[in-house]
Amino acid sequence: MIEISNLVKRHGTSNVIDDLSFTAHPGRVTGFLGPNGAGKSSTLRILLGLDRATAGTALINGATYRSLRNPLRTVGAMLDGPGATKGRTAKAHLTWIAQSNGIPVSRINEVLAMTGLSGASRTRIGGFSLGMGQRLGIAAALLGDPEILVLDEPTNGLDPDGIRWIRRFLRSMAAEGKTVLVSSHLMGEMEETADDFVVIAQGRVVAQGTGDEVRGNHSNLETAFFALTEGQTEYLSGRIDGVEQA
Amino acid sequence: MLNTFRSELTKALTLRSIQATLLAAVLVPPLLAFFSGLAFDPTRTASGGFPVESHGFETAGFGQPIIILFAALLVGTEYLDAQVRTTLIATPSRARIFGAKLMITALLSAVVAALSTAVAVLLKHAVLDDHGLDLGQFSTAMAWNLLGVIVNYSLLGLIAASATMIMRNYIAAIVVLVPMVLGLTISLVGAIPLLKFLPDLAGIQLLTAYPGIGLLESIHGALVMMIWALGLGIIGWWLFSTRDVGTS
Repeated sequence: MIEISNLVKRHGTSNVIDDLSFTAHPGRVTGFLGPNGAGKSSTLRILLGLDRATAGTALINGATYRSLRNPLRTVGAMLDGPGATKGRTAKAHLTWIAQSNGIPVSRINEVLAMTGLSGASRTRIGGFSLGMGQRLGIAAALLGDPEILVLDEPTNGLDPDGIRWIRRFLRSMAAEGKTVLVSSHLMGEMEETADDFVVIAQGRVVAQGTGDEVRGNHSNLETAFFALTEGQTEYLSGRIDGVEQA
Repeated sequence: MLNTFRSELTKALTLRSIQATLLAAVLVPPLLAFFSGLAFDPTRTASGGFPVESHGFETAGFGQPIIILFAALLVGTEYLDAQVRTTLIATPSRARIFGAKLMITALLSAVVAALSTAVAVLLKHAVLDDHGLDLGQFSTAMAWNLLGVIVNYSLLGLIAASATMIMRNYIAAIVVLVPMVLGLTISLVGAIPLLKFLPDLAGIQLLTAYPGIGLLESIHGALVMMIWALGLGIIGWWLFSTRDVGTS
């Protein structure tokens, strides 16, 4: 289980995350949604011990990520692409990650097969397509067969087949009882995948609950999302090139 | 710690840029020693000018820029393609990552120093034939000189690794350090004597003797190099342990 409680991240005088609280439960896909710059990636970086919170806590099964001894056996994560040096082969990349957590090297071929990368194991990552890079990131996240998955915008740059693959993959993980937290800025994309939704804007939760609860009186989740985040995006709502549209 | 060390060693040895750099560091000094042996003209060497025991060691300086490149790549590639994010997700203990990186830098630099210098010295004396030494004539002073090169390369590697950690950019570390070992500082030390305390010049007599230009003796130089390595290591550790990874 993932528990974010009263999380605050301040850069200078502005709060990137402002008293954020939510929970992601086992056996469910939690969609973590918000427009660009809403604080999704910052929240996930704090959850994974990469950045420090100004206040509040982000816990995994009641403990901080940094306190986990071999964290990949509990949490699999991918933030903004594979995070892999382009000059290394996929297999070498997965090998050092596996070794860091004492994961048997035999597991590498299993996750490469699960993500459809078996044929590319000896290809240098610089030669990967965007979709292959995303799948490599997911393969790394699966190495420790973790009970919790944290994925930041996993469908970025994927073609429709890739998006469909991710959707099925996320559902299958939740069906196995895993806790799945997925960030996205596209409500429509998450509508068919997630069980629970946390919508944030300007670092604050503006709605959370099941699809029905977040939808409210709106016709669909996407309409609800736009209504909830109206005026809180990096873009000027209803304006193009600074000119108010009729 | 063992898992982290193995993982970091695999990371270091599976990048072609680092493999090529290590290979170059092992090969360049012996090749230079071989060719300088072929070009050796005993009639042009003043009696007592260049000690016979120093043959082969004079090429160790040419391995220094390659050691800097190796150490800078070992740390700097973390900041390419956001690999540092994956590293810290896999091993959240920054102390273990930092410690393993420095250990591997020092260890591989020492292995390179021992291999390249030993082969360079053997090759040079073999090529010099009657003007060189036989194996049985190799002295304790030569063994100390070899140890000096090992210490120099290891400390230089640690200095370059820490500088790269501080700057989070291997290009910046290379641009600062490589010109120093390529002769910038030694060409200026006559005019500015304080330059002898810079990390490259402080330990230069660990490689081979540079008489008459006012450099630190090898033991004192090693101590000054250690202070540089320790100081930069402390700053590098402090920044690495406290900085957010952010979007890097």
